Amino acid sequence: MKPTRILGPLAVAGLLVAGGVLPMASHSSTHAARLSGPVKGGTMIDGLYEEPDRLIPNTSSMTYAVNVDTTLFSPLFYTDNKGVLFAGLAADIPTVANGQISKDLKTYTFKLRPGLLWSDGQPLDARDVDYSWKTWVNKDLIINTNVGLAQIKSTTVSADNLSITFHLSAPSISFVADWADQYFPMPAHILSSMTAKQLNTSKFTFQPTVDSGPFIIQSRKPGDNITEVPNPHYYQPGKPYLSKLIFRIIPDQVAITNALSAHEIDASWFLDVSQANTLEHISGYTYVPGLAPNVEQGLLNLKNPILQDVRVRQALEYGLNRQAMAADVWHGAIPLASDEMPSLFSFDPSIKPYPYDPVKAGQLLDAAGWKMGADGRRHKNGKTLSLRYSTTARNNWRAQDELIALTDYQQLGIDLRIINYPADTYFGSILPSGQYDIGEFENNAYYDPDISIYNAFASSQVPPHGGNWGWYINPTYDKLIAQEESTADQSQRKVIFSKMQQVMHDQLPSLWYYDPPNIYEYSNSLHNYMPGPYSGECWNTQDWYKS
Amino acid sequence: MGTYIARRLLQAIPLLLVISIALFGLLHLIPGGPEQVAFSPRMSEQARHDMVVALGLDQPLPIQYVKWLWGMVHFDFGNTFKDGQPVITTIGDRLPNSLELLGISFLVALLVAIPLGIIAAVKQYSIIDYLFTVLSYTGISMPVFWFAEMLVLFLSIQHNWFPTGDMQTEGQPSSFIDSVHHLVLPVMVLSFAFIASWSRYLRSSMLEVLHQDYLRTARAKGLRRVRVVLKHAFRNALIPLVTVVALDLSSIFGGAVITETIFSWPGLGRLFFDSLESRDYPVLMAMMVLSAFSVVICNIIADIIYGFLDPRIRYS
Amino acid sequence: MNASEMAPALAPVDPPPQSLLETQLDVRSHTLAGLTWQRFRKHKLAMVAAVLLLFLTMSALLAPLIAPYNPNAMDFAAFNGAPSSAHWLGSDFSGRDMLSRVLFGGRISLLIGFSSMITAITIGTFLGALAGYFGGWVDNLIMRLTDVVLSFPLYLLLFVLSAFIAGVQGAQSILMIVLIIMAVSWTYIARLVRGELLSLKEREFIQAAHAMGVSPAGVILRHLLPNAIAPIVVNATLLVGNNIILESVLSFFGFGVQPPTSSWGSMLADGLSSQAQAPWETIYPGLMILITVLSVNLLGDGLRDALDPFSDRGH
Repeated sequence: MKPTRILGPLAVAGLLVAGGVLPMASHSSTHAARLSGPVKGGTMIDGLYEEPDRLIPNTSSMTYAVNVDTTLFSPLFYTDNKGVLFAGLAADIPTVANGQISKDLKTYTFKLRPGLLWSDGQPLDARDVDYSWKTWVNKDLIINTNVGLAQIKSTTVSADNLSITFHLSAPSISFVADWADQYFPMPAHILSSMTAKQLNTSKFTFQPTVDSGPFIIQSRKPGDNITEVPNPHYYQPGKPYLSKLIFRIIPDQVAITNALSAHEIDASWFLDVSQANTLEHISGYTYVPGLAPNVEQGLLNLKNPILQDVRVRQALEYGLNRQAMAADVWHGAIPLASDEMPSLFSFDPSIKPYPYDPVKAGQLLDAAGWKMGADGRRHKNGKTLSLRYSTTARNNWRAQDELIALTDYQQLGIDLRIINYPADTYFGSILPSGQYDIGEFENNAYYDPDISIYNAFASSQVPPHGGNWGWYINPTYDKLIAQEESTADQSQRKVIFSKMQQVMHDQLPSLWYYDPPNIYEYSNSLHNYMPGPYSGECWNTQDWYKS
Repeated sequence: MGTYIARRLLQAIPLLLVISIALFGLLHLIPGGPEQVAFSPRMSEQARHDMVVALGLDQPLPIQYVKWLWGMVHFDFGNTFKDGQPVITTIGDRLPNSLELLGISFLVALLVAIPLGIIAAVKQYSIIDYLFTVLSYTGISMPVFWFAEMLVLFLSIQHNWFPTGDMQTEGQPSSFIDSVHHLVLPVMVLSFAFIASWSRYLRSSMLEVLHQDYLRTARAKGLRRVRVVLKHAFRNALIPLVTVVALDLSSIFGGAVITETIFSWPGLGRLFFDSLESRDYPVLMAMMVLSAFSVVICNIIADIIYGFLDPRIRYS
Repeated sequence: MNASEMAPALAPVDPPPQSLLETQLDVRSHTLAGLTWQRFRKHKLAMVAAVLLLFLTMSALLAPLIAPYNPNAMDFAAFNGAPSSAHWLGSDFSGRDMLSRVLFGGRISLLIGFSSMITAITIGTFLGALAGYFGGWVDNLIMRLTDVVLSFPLYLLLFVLSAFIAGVQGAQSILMIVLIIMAVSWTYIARLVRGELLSLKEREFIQAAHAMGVSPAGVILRHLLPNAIAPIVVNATLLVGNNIILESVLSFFGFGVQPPTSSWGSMLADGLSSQAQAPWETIYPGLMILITVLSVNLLGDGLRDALDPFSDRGH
């Protein structure tokens, strides 16, 4: 079963706007021009693997709930499938150049487009933005995240209600990006009469009645489907094209494959690779192993003395046939990981993944003092080279990865004990408490590499403070992190990130496997369906149409 | 009779109490709580703690149980952890779907099982009987999900005669024909197991009755064979079958979870499974108590019917 | 147990053929075993079933000797390969040989089926005997316990119990599954044994044993249980088939045996998505389950007629 608690495609944090180096568009009509001949009308049925839980913006960490939310609410800023930042409800993107970001990076001003309306015809303006963030930081509300909001000291709303100025307690390079794709303004005129506690159990979170996105909910049948129709007051003129968007809830991967095979649904996203065999052969449909900012890694528990020797770690990487994993498990050419995803701007292609070289691996183990014994296992000072390999249970492709690891490491003389756990136990207690030696899981990147890979190895992030579950402590590395976090100059940061990537490559605090794709499939009669690595599936439902 | 029912219901209360305590303890023993499941691995400790408090999970267990029990007595089952909606609505929304699926399957199964059982009994040891034995045993020897998936492959994908799942075609106004069209495959799967088991029960009890003396007497008196079979043998053979059917009624809570999964039927079995995944205790507790209650009711119904049909049994 | 998606462990009984006396006249042996065997031989279907089961068990036991490949060896040249000379039954999505996997998978499936049956029968018989023999509050307590267990729908109880499996290695998962299946299947046999003992213990030969001063344990073990053996054996046989199906259902929901161990059930569940492209991945394990459970059911039927021709109907 898929892990659904990822934030990667949806949270684009740390976007470098202040530096002004990243590409961005000034308004959305740029990519509107790329569309050709959209047809108005038509029904699109989307297969959804899990039923959304909460639909009030930013109250759910479930991927599928955020998907649906994206069709119902418009963000201030959003990214397209290439990671380019656009202004949504905002009139433009704040920069230092246009004065909407102060030079000390502590004051941000968001300007909204004039004349915005909620789906019930009421005005949508900066007061809704103000209401929204204040509600999200209320600790009685169950929320997904508050990154970027905790540092807001105070806000000022302009007299015409069209702009809101945030006064932050500390300089931030990512405040705009924090708001992109996830913090959808909420309707104050509907929700402000409820307390945060009441919001948690309101009918609104089950079926929002007023929204700002391309669609509004016409009906929802629990466990079955969510039917949406166009929002008459949607801010992009002439859109959406579809006259009906239906999410059909199909809680079984095989059933989704059946529905696609029988042409009953038009598309589905985030599919399981175990279905690939059938999915690749559905006529009239396109199968896409989409590029995703994910890396599959085997985190090493550096509290285990065996793994404290870098030669052992390198041997583990050399001796593991990751190419076979990519080819067998994932049906073909997906990038091998050298620790960073190619989609990140900081990716340094000159740092190559380790080749599969079991001979070299054996030599490294010998040099580290682990000699092969008569029992086919390596020994050193009376100890056997034995490691616990863990990952999430009930996951077919991870089981295949484990099989490859088992075979490869057995040949190397390593005794591998495979112990799997249900996902919540695995992430909730096993990894943080170090009850593993090699822990396989999928790491999801944000647009800024700092938040994704690198921060997870900072010494300040060891449990219980953060995700440095392998207890990697390297003062030089920490210094590099401090350096890249202190400058907004992207070219400078890129140089520092390269150095960090080299450290990751040489030191191997984790084994790096490959970059798993986000698989999706869609009917050839559906146009403009283009899930992106960070933006998720539904970033552009207003552009979808059927022919 | 009324006092009998009342007495049985009263006796059921301590049982339900014990069940609810056992279940409550069991659920909380399962590793991981909803705050672990609902959060991504990167959430801060503070946010996780806030969620725990918001859901009332920071209180000591006995207090949580008493709170739940108090609500239960007032027919307030609380709100789900997952989407904050009232549990009773969440269950109530799906109950008709399960009723529809199981009810129709029951009906179909009865219509098929009864003639099958009678014929097999009357023609014992014939080719028909042997065929029947092998087929019905095959029905209960095959994993249900395999059978269901093969049906879907053949009838929905390769031939597009029936939909692959769901209750209705989306985007269209609901129609009776459409609903029936969507019911065919799931009902086939569910009723298959019922038919296999009920027809064998009926066959067996028919055989026993057919060999008894009073029937030989009826035949000797000159009554026609068919009349003997249908009027005398069948009615008496019906008794054990009816009790079995009544007991199987309680399978509405979760008995069809495989069918519901493969055909994405929004029923109670699926609700339970999903709630277990997300450790949604209020939903789980409510469902288990309701299902235990329905088992008790079905047992009472079975006993009452048994009493009606067999005049030798009298309940004080 | 309810029928819903799975028939109850006991299908109803066939009454004896008309002229039992005539059959009895052709007696060659006077022991219980001999009589049983004679009656059993008359059931053609059951005999075939017994032979089939024997064959399946032998092939499972001999799997390490007769399997052409290591069941976990991945052949990178043959993902989802159709049956060929290299792989007689084809290969699965990891290039593993289906024939070898079916043979080794049988070991696990049969192991789970038998051990869960033995544990369930042992516990069920023990508790049922206590309840039936001592009566009173012991009986009440044990019956309330079965009530509690039986009030949970079967699958729901299975899922809840499966959620307890925190960290499982491949081999450990077998033990967990056996325990889980045992927990849901002991109640039927307990009630059965209790019922038998309740009626038997009033008989004269039991009162005689009491008079002679035989201890309760002695009475139960040497006098009561042997006379109740028939329904126990029949139920035990049917339980094996039941439990193999249960294990496959667990695998379907992901609670079954964990890789790298695999059983017929887990193979069936794994291959479900490729039924159209690679039917051999489901047909062979599915067929194995079907044949095994079918044979077990037919065998149980035959045993029931052979052991106890006058046996009452279930319940």
